[in-house]
Amino acid sequence: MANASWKRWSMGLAGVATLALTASMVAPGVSTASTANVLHFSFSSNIETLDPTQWTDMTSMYPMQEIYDTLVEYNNVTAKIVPGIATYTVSKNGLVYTFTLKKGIKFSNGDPVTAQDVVYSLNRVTRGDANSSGAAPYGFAYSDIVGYSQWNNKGNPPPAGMTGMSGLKALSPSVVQITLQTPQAFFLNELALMSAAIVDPTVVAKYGQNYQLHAIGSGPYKLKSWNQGHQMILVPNPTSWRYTKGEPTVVMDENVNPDLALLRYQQGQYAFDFGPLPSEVYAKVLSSPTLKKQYHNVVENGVVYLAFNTTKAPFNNVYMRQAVNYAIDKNLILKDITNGRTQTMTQPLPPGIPGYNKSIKNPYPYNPKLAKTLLKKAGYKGQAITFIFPSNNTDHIRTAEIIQTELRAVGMKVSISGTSQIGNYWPLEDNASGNWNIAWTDWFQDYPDAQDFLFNLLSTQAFGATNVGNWTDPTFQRLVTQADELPASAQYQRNLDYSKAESIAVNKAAWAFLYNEWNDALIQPWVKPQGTYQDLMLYLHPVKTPQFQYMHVAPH
Amino acid sequence: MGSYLVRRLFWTVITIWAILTVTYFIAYLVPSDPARLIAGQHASAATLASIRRALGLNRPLWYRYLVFANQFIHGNLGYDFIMRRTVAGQVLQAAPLTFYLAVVAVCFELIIGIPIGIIAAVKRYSFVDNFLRFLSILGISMPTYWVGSMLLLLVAFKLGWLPLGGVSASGVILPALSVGITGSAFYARILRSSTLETMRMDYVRTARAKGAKESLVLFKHTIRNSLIPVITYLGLDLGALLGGLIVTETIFNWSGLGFLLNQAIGNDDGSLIMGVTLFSASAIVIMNLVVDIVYAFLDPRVSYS
Amino acid sequence: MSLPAVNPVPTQSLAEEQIRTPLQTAVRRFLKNKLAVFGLVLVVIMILLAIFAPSLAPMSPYTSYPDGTTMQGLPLNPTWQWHHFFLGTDASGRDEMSMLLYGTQVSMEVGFMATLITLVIGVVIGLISGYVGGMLDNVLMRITDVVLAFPLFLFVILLRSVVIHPTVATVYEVIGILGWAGIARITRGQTLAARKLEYVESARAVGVRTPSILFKHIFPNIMGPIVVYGTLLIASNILLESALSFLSIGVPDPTVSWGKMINLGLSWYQTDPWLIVWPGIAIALATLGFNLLGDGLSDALNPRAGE
Repeated sequence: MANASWKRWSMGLAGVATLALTASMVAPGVSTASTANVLHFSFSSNIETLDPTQWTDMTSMYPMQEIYDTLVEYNNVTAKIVPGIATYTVSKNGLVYTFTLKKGIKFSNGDPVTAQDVVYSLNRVTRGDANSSGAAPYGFAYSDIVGYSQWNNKGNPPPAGMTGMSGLKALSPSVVQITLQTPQAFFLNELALMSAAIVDPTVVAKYGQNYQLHAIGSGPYKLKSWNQGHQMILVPNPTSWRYTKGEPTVVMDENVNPDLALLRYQQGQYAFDFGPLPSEVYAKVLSSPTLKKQYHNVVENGVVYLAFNTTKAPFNNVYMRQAVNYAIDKNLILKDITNGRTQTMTQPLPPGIPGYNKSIKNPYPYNPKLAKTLLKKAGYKGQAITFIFPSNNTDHIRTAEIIQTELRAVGMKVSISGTSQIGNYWPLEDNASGNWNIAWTDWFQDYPDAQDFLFNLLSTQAFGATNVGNWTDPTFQRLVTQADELPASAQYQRNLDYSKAESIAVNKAAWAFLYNEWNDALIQPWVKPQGTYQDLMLYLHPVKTPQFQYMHVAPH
Repeated sequence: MGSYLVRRLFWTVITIWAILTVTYFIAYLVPSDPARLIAGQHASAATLASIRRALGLNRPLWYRYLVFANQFIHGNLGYDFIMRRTVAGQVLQAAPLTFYLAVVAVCFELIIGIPIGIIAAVKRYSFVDNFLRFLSILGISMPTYWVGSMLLLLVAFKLGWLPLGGVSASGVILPALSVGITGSAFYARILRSSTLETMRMDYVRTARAKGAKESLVLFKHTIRNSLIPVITYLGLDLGALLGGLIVTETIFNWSGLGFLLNQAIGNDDGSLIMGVTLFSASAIVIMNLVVDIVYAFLDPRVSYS
Repeated sequence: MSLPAVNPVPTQSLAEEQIRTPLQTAVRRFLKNKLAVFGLVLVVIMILLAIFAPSLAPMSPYTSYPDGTTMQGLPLNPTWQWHHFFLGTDASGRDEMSMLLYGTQVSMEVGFMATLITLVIGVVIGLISGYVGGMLDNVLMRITDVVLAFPLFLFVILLRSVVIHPTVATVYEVIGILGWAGIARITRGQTLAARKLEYVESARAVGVRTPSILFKHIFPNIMGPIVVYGTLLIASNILLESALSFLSIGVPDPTVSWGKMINLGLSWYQTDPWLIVWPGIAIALATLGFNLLGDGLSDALNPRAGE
């Protein structure tokens, strides 16, 4: 009996194997539809959400900017704020904003977009609701609206009878008025964030927890299907106020590793390979004349720098911080980490931000000798220095290794300590007194305004939070506070204040300045953007994603 | 037999409980802040506090352990930190893909491993034996991801015969083959030594002495019996197989459990890491149980004491 | 990645026969096996390279040389000049040859130490369980069963991914601590058989103390299978380390290991294939050496393998 069973067993196995083989051999390979009006590409991560209350990440912006509209938005090329679905006026004192919705704007299910919907959307994102784990990460962006603190109530239920922020009113079905506590030159920028996207209250109510799988907006695209973690398909929304015929369908693959993405791009399956491209992909680009022609690059409003723990010795000493700046060959980092695809950082602000001080050119040229002198001046006697960095990315690891080598060369006893868990890395903000001396840090703009950098990264209000090393300077603090509270109409004065503040941060070596973030991409020649390819690269700017509706797919 | 089943079942439950407990407390060691993961780099302290409250992170550890254990019994593994989707849902979506890949991979292992093992045994200590053994040991000695990457580059990219990663009917071949090449060596080695043992058995000698044809002796008497340890190893191999799949699935973008786990590690998503580990470990334990029971029925020589 | 497949050792009879098998027979048998000798040579070379890596390495494996990359910051091709990037550089401008040599140290350290931890835990538990027997045996073996049911790789990943400031020791400790169940089982079986041997029984009868019996009388008799298992385990631990490094949870920076070199080099395979060729060859040779050696030892020590 046993022997007979074994026979069947092995026969069965052989059968299954043959079947599996045959099945897989006859199955069709991937078809690359060459005439389809489709833009297919991939992300290396998840599209995290389509719900404005949960939005935090760059990847989710790609579909969200297509599905939703905002009151105001960025011009494609100039990156200046322009009316979105509403025109607006601002009162002289910079406190009262009045928005008038354009006529005939509809959600993709046919519901008209009303002033009440705008009020609902902003009240929702400042409170969070059941499906956003109690709070919306970007709700704080609207904390200057009158009534925010009572309404948000630190995540506790709002006072009984309160239905929204008192400074946010629908004056008529098409007019919304927002009142601020203090003037904010960058308030309109915050209304262009995806957290301020206008949602349809009836759809939110209908789907509750599952809202984002059925997300709709008034934008140029609507969600066709979303297999979360795998693929999302967007199709043109014919009810959109900017709909034109012949817009391409957009297919986005999620979680595709960069190596695979490049291979698929090279085979012509993908329309884009969006960056920042890893060095090895860039190496491939350089070695291939074809890819070189399809490569585009832009410097972004983002910074990569080293923060110093200024709450304790030795980096509470300015000479120490300057010594580090002189000891690092920034051109070597630029070459080895970015392959020269961006520029070295000269000051806290990136060049694209108003207030950038053009007169600061190369404040800390590579000078190990001077670094050694400064170390002596600071009285450094070989104390151990801990350099921490997030090791979830090989570029970070390489940066840390290069910097360690250079700092050791001038006599600093540096040890590097990587953290692979990014969730462990950020909380270092919460304990600036922690056991580290130098920390690798980066920051992308939320909007192109100096406040997003200087206030968030270097003010005393951001101590123990985004001001990672608790650096401060009284004059710097005064200038930044002053400029933050001026209205947009006083932009000239703001720029002057920020420029002066920048000089102080540079002279006092608030950080070790490394390089500005960049973005690059491969774009197939059969993808025809509205303007030039370089314009398309500007869409890739962190505040604005490419606008697929204006692209044409040529036969290929 | 009945009491054997009961005892075996009892120990399976104990094992799964041990896995649950160990996994939970290891995952608890991650001092990572889920609130920060959910809210991102730019969020304020107040936002973080309210998220922690919503997640119940302010409760004592033992309380959260009991809640988790209770949820597990009811098939609920909680929500992941990044997407806020149910972990159980994601695991159940990924598991069939891993199972499919594993089955095809085992088929490749056997297709490659069995002939090598038998030929090596029949031609023992000859040049052919040495060559085949060297080949199979070389197979074990190559990292799976190296083999996988090379197959991907050559077969899928350069030759364009098979899809470039992703889940599809033909997409299973390359990942399964890369596991199969490295895994087949185990079977070849086991089969070689068990065939050598069987060939010395009395009944094989008798058959040969009676003048039965050599090929008949080989196929009817020897191989069939030599396959028993192979089947045993098949059960034991599941855990190792899954380990190999984590790396292979990542290379081929095969969105099974290994892919999910690697993604969870990359995102530092404790909830998802715990869920995938717990599910896979339990699945392996239960599969081993099934293999053992089937084995007990098939092979009367196994003692149940 | 998987546990090495030990030839199913017939526990009872092997131990008995082994006592009567002179060591010379095994050595002769081993030396006749050309593959096994080749394996031994490879292993010896690897160990020597690991020991003398600091004096052999032509450059520093930790230094990013400014002239170690092209103008665009890309890796250099092999120059075939010993003191100037002999095998080329990686993307950080570090010397591949030197990294390879230092990587030998890490791979050997992880391979040997993880195996040692596994063997010590497994052998002690197996010896006690098999010798003492009774209730203790029952409890220990049930625990062993539970641990054996844990998928090793999954738990190594889980445990390793929660350590924030890992060292090389973390990696081999994690691997070693989780892997002992298999060897405990094998040792227990061997011990059960060895306990019944005449001279062990007589040692007990004249009142030799238990630890002394365990380590002086029983252990030498059961060493064969343990050595074989351990040799094969070293190979699989080297691969396990490289797989952990592939998932970026291997040895910490700035330590270099072969696995890490492959991880860093893997995505360069289109433009700079040698970045994975060198460490790939190194890993394959080392694991090949240990596997061949283990197989050879297994054949040599197993009298039933036949001549």
